[in-house]
Amino acid sequence: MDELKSVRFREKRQATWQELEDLVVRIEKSGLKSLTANELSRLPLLYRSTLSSLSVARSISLDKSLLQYLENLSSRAYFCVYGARRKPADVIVEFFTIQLPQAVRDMRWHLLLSGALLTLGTVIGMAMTMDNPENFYNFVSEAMAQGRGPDASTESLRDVLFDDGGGSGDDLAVFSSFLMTHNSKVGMMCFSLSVALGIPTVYLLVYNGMGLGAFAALYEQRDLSIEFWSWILPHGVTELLAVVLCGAAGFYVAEAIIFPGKHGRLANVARRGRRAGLVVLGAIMMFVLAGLIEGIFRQTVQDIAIRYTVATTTAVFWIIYFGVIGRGRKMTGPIEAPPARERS
Amino acid sequence: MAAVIDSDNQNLREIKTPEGIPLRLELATKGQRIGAFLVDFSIIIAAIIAVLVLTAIVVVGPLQSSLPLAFTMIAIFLFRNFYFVISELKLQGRTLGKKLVNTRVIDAGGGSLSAQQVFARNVTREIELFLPLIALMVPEAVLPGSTAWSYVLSGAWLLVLSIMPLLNKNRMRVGDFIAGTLVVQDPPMNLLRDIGQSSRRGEKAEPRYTFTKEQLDMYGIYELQILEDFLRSTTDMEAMRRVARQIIRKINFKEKVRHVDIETFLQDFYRAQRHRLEQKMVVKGERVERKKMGRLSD
Repeated sequence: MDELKSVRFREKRQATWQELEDLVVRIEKSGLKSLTANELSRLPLLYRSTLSSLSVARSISLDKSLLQYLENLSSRAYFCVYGARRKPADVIVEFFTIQLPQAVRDMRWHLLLSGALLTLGTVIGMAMTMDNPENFYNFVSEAMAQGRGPDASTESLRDVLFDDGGGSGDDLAVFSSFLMTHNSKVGMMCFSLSVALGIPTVYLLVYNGMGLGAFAALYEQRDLSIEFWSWILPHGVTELLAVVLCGAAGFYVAEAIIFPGKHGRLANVARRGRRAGLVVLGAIMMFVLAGLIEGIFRQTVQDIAIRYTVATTTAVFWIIYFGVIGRGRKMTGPIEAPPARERS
Repeated sequence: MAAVIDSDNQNLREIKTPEGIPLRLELATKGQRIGAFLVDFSIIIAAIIAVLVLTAIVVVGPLQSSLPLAFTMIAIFLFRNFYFVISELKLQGRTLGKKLVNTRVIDAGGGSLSAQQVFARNVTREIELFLPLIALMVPEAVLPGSTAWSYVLSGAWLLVLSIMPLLNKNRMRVGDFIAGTLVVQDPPMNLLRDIGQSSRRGEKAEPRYTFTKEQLDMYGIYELQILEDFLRSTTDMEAMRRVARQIIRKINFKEKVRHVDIETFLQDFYRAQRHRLEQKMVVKGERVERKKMGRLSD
């Protein structure tokens, strides 16, 4: 009896596998860039050849160690070949110019729902606080109130709106960074809790709306409405829009959980989850942006007219960005989605 | 017809590569997930403490302002949320913690791990971990509403989300579920000597012992692989003698095997057995092929 067929098979191909193994070890240690151009072009060939060796070995060989080795080598080579391949800069540019606006546009009905709930909460909060000023404390926590409330004097409330720096400027900076992180958290919670079929999302939107409404009522009762909204809106447009986006993202995923569609629940949820995640990322950036606007404008701009102008400008900007940018362009997505066709 | 690799390993998952050939990867164990996470978490905590200390020094010192605190809060927030995202993007699905325990994140669908997936799977960490932690320490900062009932509800909800990996067989976190990812082990790479090769290099020597088909049919693939492991790992003559005696008895081997030839006997038996079983595999595979093509039905 001469050599086992499987032994001959292994002897013939072992050099290839060894070459691949050496490449993989180097890639894992120092990255793809440590390879020469020649080696880079060998990589996919060696990978596919090894993969087919694995396939053959599975059907003709019982050498357990060989099968395990090929399994492992193929897997590690697979990680190298199909690891992150695109330059970070390209990914970022494509994110802002195509992926984010398109994802938001895909969620238009969810945006509507989200916005409606936020508005509902605001209206309820405002109505209830107008009715009974003490209700304010039901909707606004200590940390958010910062001394403002039905018991505060009108003078002190007005002062907050027109703060011009001085001692409390820094505290406001801390407060606004707190708001930024708080709102981002709320936003992320809307998204992450979407696995609960969107119910926490509804709750969060309405509840935060009520807080806003309570504040609005507070200032309305002191006849400071115009000043109040001029103080809120410059950054508020961006910030509230971001909250609505997060809510929409949450509903987008929740819908996939409730109505599986044609690809099966898990696959559908995963696909939507990825797109929704993009929107949340965009929302977080909007929160940071809103925080910056708030920080810059709060002290330097007191004029009501200017504040409203800024508010309107941001509104127009977002409408154009989400409504128009990236229309008709195709995404080059991950390997699994053929570039020119999949619209997910 | 695939050969048996490890028939009773519940952790194996098969993913389909874009080439169409499935790869079998082993899921990361609970211990590995927890271990990697603890390492990453410690890094984050250490960084946060360092930054806070630094800020305290600056604030208490000459600047006398709380402005740095604002930047610090933002920096901490961004850091703890983007540490995982940036690591997993730059290090091919791994963080420092994952590198230490040899695991990595992959796309469950077998394709390339995209940036979107990395982000989606990590955006939920805030509610799986940080919020419950903060809720434990400072409940009012996190849980909306002021009634005890809403505390309990929110608390229970956060708890369920946190232990999600224990509740499903793919050990997916909430984030994995949303992003369509899995965490698998990085397989080791070492090719062991093939026992089936002749021990005398280069020569195609005739085996010292031969066996009939009936004798070889007494054992199956499972026993063969046990024998392979045994031959590879043992040098104990006594153990080899026992195994050889068992085989001789079972297959009713007539020829006498001397003590010095025990190892040769076992190796010859291994090679013959493997040859026989591999032949059967090929034949069975061909039969399956023929059936598929609708011709001979055996």
